[in-house]
Amino acid sequence: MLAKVLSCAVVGLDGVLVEEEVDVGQGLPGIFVVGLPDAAVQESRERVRSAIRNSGGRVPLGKVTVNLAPADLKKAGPTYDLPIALGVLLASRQVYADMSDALVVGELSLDGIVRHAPGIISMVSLAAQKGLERAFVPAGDAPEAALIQGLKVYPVRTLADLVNHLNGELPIEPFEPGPSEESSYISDLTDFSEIRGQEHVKRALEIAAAGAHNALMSGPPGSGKTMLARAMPTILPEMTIQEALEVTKIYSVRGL
Amino acid sequence: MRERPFRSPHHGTSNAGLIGGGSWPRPGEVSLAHRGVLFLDELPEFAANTLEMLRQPFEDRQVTVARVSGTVTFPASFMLIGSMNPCPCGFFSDPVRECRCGASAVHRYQKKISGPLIDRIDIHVEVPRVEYEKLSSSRTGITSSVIRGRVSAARERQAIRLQGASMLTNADMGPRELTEFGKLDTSGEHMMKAAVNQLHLSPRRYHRVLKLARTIADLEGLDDIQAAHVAEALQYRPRQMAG
Repeated sequence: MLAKVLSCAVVGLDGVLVEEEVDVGQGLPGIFVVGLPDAAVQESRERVRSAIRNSGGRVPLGKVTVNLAPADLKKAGPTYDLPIALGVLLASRQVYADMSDALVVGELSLDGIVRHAPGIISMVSLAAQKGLERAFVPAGDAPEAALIQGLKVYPVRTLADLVNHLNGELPIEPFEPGPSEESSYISDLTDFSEIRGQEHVKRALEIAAAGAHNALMSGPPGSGKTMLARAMPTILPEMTIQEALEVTKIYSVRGL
Repeated sequence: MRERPFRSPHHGTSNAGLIGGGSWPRPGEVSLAHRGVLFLDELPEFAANTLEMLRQPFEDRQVTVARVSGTVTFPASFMLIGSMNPCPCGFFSDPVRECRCGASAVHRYQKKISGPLIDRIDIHVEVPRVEYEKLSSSRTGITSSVIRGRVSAARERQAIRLQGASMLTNADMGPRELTEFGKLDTSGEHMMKAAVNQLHLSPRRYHRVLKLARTIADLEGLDDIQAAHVAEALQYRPRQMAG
């Protein structure tokens, strides 16, 4: 039987929709991944097999073919684990669900826990653009994913949780962003008032900060150049929502 | 996250690490510093070709990485803060300690940062040694939060003014915006004319000075650029220190 699950690749900072087709048929037992997978995607076979077994499912006795479409786009990274595992369960009729409006991403550990996926904002914003209504993302990435409006974000902790949700046994609540606890690194930095002297340098840095100008400080070792530069974040204004979203996207893709 | 990023890559950073790249292109430090600060400590220690790669993001505010599989663009609108010693030993032009470097060594050291790069830096400032009286004084300066308030106000003025051009800060301005928004009053005009003639400012340097004067006027909340603003902006032009 054939199953389809939608997932996502990240090219640069933009998401590209990847369709995962899983077919369980006759043949020598094994999982075969096609569609230009890199080494990490090839290895997902082993993670998927163990994760399914350790989550109480069974790996079908037959030839399992996984196709990642579009076939000409290189697929990198382990974020296809969860959609592949789900595809296998759907194709072997261990789960019954319509997944045509849902994005699924996440790396699996051998015991079925869903791990962090880099670039989650790019993926979820693509899903929202394409009109998908649900996004199943690693639980740890849900706050990041919820920055995107327009679709329901489901935080998935384990493969078993996802199966129980889809079978209607134990639904996962869509993620609601709570009051975000901002961790401020500014308060740990040196304040400008603590730096003695160098008033003209402070003035120059204030102007640089005000207009986002480039600045170069030149002076003997130990005169405080590095300390002054490191205090820069304390005089920079907060980012606007739009700016913050741009920056978060870059950090998300880098997995920071 | 609402706080602006601050990145300080070590001078051993590879080109791909700084600019972005890899066979599966990923953003580099210049993109991680997007909307924030890229701090390059000991600027002359960076490899010359690494520094030259900063030119594209300076001009375009983004980085384009081309691979056989396709071209990828990352945003890179950052402000560069650099630091350097004036010479290899560090004490050139220091009033107390004598510099032990030969003239050619000083020249070679300063040459490590190319002219085009120097030209793209708006503010050049010398950081001299601090005297004991200042170091030991209990007088505290203005706090960061006060400065931050002034900076925010100046940035708001810029954002409103540049809205039509979809820019955020004065540093983003091109010649067209500068002609429109870099209005000098009569005294400012005189000052600028004298500066261009006597200091032989290149057209690019003229634009830099004007941009900087615009920001200084913004910090004071003024619409027209006055002579004092131009004068202060001129102080921050690069100076040939040796040879």
